[in-house]
Amino acid sequence: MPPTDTLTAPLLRVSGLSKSYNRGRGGYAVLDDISFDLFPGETLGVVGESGCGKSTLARAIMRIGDIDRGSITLDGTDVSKVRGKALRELRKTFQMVFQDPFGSLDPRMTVAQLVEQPMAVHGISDAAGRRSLARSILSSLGLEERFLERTPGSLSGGQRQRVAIARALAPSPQLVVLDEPISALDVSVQAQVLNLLADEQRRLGLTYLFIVHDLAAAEYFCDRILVLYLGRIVESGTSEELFRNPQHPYTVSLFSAAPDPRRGDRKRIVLRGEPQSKRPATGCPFASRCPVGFDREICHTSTPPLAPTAGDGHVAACHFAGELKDTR
Amino acid sequence: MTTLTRPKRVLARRSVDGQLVLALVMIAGFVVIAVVGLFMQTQANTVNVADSLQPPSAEHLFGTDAQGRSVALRVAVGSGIAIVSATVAVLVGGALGLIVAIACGLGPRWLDAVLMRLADSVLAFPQLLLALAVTMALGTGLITANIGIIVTVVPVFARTLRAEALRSRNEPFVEAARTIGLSLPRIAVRHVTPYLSTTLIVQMAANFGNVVLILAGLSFIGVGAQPPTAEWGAMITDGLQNALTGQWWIGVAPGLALVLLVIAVNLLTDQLRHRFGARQRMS
Repeated sequence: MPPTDTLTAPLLRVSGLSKSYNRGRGGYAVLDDISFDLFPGETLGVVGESGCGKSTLARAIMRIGDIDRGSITLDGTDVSKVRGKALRELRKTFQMVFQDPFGSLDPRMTVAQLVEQPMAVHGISDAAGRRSLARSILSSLGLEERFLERTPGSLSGGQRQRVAIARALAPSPQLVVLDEPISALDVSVQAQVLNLLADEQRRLGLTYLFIVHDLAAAEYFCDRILVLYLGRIVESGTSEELFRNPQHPYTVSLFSAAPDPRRGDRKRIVLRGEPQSKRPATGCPFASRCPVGFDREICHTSTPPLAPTAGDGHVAACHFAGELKDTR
Repeated sequence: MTTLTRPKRVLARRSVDGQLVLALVMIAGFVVIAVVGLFMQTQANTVNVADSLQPPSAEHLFGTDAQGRSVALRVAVGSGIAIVSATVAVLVGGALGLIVAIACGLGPRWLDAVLMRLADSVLAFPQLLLALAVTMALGTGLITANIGIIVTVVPVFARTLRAEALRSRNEPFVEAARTIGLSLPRIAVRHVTPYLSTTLIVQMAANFGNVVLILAGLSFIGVGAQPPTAEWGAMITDGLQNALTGQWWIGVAPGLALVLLVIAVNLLTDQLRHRFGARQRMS
């Protein structure tokens, strides 16, 4: 679904979201002024290196912990302002698949119990009805009858993650946040899980926020992509456009670092210095490591805003967007 | 090398199993004796002056006391009293400790701080002394002594379980339960209590022996079970009166029973720790 379609209202609108840990004790905003829209039926990928705030973003949207500033609006309701019972009821509409399929399922519950639990919490159907719903969700994910009474301990990583997906889909949510759902899995089952997610999305008209590490998976799976660097969006655009024509030097270097088995001789862009853990007080957060801007004054003194570049809806936060070209 | 280490390993494993079997056999023995004792309470309290101060014999395994009551029978009744009251104390104390721990682990930080300072202040007193004070305040007797003991064990349970409850808060499956929309009380019952259950069981076993000792101690100094109740502590006090004149069996028999029960329970605790500890790390 094209993001420029003004006729469709966004399902999820995040605006000016900031979050810091240890507020008060010299708190540093792990997420700084994040804004984006997510349209119904769309898959939005969030990519970036470890520690850039991807998972924090997922958790903020899931309302695990509080946020400092900004708002998260889901289908017209400001989720960030809802509390208590109302929040628990609202949780039916947004669900999450966690990164770790080994920790996110209670080891003492059976597969059937795990999948039925969210339905029971939200008063969906009666016990028999929930059992048959659980059965049909699980079978659409390729888990047959015989798995129902098993515990997570006796399942493989891929099977567990499918149970976690079934659990997330059980209350028929509109939005599913996928926090690196495939990164803990064997490469051989990653594709299978991605395909199942894509099938379910088509079947149920789901909207995905997909936190990824794996750029190939992002390119294959996402309609649009946000590139996060040290808690800020540095570039966003449609998946196709972004991968074909990356504008921000960080995006270009990130893409150049991804292995491509068919082109082993390709040059990588090696960044200067050590990875940073905090944004500098002024200027572009990437300036000190940037191959383009490390020696340019403006990059260290003024923070570039997200500005439209080449294509349709493609924005980048760089004073010299497009200057660095990937050698692919 | 291998020929040297191999038999050692076999021996080590067997001794672990042996301890468990030994502990279970001893405890089972005490339970059987206790059941017999609880059914023969009237006989155990029947005074028969003609038979007084008999030394151990085939008829009276541990002899008789000054009132001519069979010491063996009274020790059996005493096992019943010890096992029942310690079980009640450990179950009630464990349950209350569990509730406090979950409130600390899942509740707001101020509640955790308040409850833990309270637990600290209770733990600052020696257990026996505090149990004594509470029992005295409530009036002497077996039931009040048990209440006193429960008051002293609740913070012990609360402290150890709280650490686990705090850890459970960050377990992904507890977070996942929140994102599904479970309320905190339901998370506590459905996810956190099972998470704490192994620790709770080990702690109950670990406190059992201690509780038996404290109850006997309270009765020994006269604030717990009162004569003529056949409680081990009270029986030891009774036996002291005859110790100097040579009728050692009246005090030694209940003392021996006390030691054996505590050893059996502590052996079991070690084995439970061993097994549950290993299993917990696996899952």
